[in-house]
Amino acid sequence: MSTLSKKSLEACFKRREDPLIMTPILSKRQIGDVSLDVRLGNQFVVFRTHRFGIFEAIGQPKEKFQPRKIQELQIIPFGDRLVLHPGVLVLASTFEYVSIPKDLECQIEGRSSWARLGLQIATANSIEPGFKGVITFELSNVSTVPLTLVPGIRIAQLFLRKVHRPMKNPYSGDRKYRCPIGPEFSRLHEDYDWKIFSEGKG
Amino acid sequence: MNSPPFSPSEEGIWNEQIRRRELHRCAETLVGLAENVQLAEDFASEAPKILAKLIAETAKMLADLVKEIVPAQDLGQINALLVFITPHLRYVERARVSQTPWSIVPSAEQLFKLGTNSKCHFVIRPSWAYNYSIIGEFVGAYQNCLSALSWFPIAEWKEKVDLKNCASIYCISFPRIERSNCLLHANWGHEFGHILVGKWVIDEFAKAWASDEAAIKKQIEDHVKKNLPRNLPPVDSLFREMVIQDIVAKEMRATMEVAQQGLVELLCDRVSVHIFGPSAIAASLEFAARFVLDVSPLQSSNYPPWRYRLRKMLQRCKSDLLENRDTGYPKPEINAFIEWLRIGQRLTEAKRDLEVIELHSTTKEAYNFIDKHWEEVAEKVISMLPPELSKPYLLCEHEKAVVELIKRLQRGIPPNEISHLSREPASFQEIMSSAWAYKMGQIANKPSWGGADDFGLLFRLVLKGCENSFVHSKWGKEIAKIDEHTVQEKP
Repeated sequence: MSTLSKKSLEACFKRREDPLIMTPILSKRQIGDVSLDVRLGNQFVVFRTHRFGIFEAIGQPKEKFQPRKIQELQIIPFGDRLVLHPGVLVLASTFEYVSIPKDLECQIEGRSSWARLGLQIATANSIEPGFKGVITFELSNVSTVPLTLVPGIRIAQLFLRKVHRPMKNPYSGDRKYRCPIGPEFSRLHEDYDWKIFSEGKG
Repeated sequence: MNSPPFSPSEEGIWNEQIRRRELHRCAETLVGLAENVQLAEDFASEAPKILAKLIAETAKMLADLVKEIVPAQDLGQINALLVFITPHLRYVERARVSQTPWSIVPSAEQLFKLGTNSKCHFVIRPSWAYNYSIIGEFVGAYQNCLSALSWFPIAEWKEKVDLKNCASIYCISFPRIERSNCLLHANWGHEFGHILVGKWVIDEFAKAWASDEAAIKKQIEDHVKKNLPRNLPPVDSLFREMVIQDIVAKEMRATMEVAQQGLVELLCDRVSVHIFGPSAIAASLEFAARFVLDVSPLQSSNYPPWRYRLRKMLQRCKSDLLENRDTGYPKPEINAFIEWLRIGQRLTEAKRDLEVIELHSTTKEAYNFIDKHWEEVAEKVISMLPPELSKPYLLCEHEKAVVELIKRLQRGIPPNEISHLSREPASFQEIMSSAWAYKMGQIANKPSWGGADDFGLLFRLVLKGCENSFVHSKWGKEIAKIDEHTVQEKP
């Protein structure tokens, strides 16, 4: 697997069959030498820490897995700002909607300028071939001072790599996150092996 | 020992003290509520905050004045004013992003501002009633009430509410249950139409009615005479002519009301079709399908029968429903949508609504009046739109763009730009057209399509399309300029 260069990325954008899509690209300069800059969207899933002492993700039946009890969606209009306090995690997403072709795999990484200020953007940073939607970030501030973020800023980079022997219909079947347009709440309970381990019914 | 009863002047003093104290407290509470809701900061546009500011500043001035300056005899008016203003805060509260299709609110507001002026603001909020409506205008209503109070410093109020940048505020409602069904929100075009049509009614309706009044009166009089019961009660027989004139006067009033309301609704439909094209018709068709199409205006608060309304709307879109062999219109991607609209056209070929209208002299004369003035009046109302919106939106003229957007929807991509990397965001109307055409295409070609997941995906893509297109059109040009003038950053 090798990372796609600017020329290859542009060729993937332009090809007729199963093109790479990232829409909209507000600036040509978002297409870098080996990466694509993505912007911060305006939807955020934040924690409601004041109501719950503990959230047990496992050890309970599916229907009791309700992350909305501990998290809620907030919209910050473009032109407004979000303050991320130290030690806080919020889910966010790219402003751009992407469609990853079946022969490419994508990795998302933070921009070093933001990382130097203490911003981490993702822990689950691989996007599979065939994925369509906005990409969810797990933003966290690991510095000791609050960080101000505004929707629309360039916050992360996508790196695309060729897949060895692509599948025919990638990202099909019972996928949990299909065509999201904002950060989605966890659907851990939809894991195929959820019952076996979490409910002790193996 | 019992105290003597209050004299009127003592009672007046007692009453004034309580009123001043309690009205001051209520006004202060209203200020607090209005300021708090502004702090929520989760609105899709500035409009709700501007309405909250209008309420807060007005209440603040009333709270200050009511303590001493307001004359005792005007305290009742202050009470009435506060009772009038306070419930308006609910429009602000309901306009929060959790209640609205926030992704399309900025696009819709931008379009409506283009149709009025940039100092006109639109609060968009849900209502539990299954209806679209428009309420307002608030700034003018407040100003009228306050100007009538001689002691009220109106110039200071204008400055405080920033009247220079806030000419008017309207509140447009949509059915809460349809929050994410953005396709149906093409009905907002009709509500926007009320702003233009309202102006026409104030300026012109009376003149048009006066020009025909004598002829209509004669028709109604003839009808009344012909249908007067032969065996009038003895007293009535003595005053036969007076009885006739009384009935005629009542019928004339009813006829005018039916004609005015009918014309208003039909003109608003016309504005909606002018702005949104076939999407406006599709939204009306789906909305109307829930109701009986041929209800007499006399049984539906003077509203025209749906079939009549749809017929008038479809007439305006005739060219979109015709094939054009030279251009190959309509392309396969939009054919199902056009076919569906043609079915709507067939629906309007039935004349049951006209039969209902003909049944009663009131509706018959009212709709004769509407027919006579229709073309001229419709043209006048459309001419009130600014140059940017003077051209009607025809699907056949936007076919190429709309087909591109449909192809994106088919691939699970939001319809926000005409082609990838084009730097050309799609317009709100083009996005709506593509969404309707895609939906009708899916329904026609995939019998299994139409489940909650299918609709959910379509709505998500359209909402995202509107949001991206708005951001792209608002900030994209500036970013593109920087692209042209700066050197590439180092990685």
